[in-house]
Amino acid sequence: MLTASGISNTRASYLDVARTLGAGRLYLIFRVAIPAAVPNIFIGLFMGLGASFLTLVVAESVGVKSGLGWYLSWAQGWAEYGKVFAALIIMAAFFSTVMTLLFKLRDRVLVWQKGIIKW
Amino acid sequence: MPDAPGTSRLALGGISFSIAAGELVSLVGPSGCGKSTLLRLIAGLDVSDSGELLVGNEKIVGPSAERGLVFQDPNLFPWLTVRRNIEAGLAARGVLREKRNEVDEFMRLVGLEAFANAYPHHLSGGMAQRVALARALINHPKVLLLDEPLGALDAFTRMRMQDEVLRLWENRRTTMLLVTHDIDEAIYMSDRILIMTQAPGRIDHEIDIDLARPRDRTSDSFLRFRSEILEHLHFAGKAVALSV
Repeated sequence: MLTASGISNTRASYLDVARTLGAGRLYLIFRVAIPAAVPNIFIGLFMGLGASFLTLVVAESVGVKSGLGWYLSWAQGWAEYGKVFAALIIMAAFFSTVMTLLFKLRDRVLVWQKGIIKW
Repeated sequence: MPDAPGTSRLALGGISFSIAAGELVSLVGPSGCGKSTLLRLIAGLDVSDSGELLVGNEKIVGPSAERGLVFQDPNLFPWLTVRRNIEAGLAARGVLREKRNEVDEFMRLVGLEAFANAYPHHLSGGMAQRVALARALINHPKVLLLDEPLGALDAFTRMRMQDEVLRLWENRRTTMLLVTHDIDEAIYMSDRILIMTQAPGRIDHEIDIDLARPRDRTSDSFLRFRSEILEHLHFAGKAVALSV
């Protein structure tokens, strides 16, 4: 979604400039529209990652008999709070690792934004 | 009053002019008179409902690298460094490999060798506009269209950039068509000034500026041109009435 809106929001003037430089369709798509959309694509990835993790844990704790979400509610049922916290810590560590990796990737790809945007 | 959606309005009517190769011509007029529309038509970004635009003997059918355009906003690609922005002119046409050696020449031409690896948001307005000029000039356009290229700059940078553009013009001998609101800028820079009036936009007067360069902005002849143009635009010698 955000990829699509990112591309459709490409400043029309970037495309105008590229066309007066003699750009063809391929250049307009791959060298202008997509690079211009990358910041939005990353916003989409961050939001999507958060939402999917949340959905995963909730779904595991109600629907299925496997996964950390299920383990969490199962250990809670047996009052094994040590295991509950262990599961929570694993979840937090896993999620923040994935987030950090994504941040690292963003810093590498969007190096040109350094100094414009503080996250 | 804004037009109701779906209605159309004649933006330009009965415009006819020609520019000789190597000439620097300015187009001045009040905002809304269709200067930018005319420039976009020449660039091939918009299509006219009627009439013909020719470059040499060829009709303009769409945008092309032969007609470079520089906007008020430099519109540099923020994800590319200065050097790669200038290269973009060549890359867009797919000739970067053969002509890469020209990039250095154009970086030197606009004096930005030291900023080759900087990203556009680190540049000042004047520097960014110099990159935009180099990016357009590297394609050796037959005509360079300038749409108020210095309009966003402060007065001092603007005067320095006027000399810079003149230097590029003298160096490359590229035909230039400059749209501006700034009458002094038009007199200072151009060989000829076209004065446009609005609704529908048409060219009312043509003035040859036969002063030797570099021009003195305070000389009598300069000021005479100034008052002549103001008179054509109906601003001479009176306070402008406020219309509410």
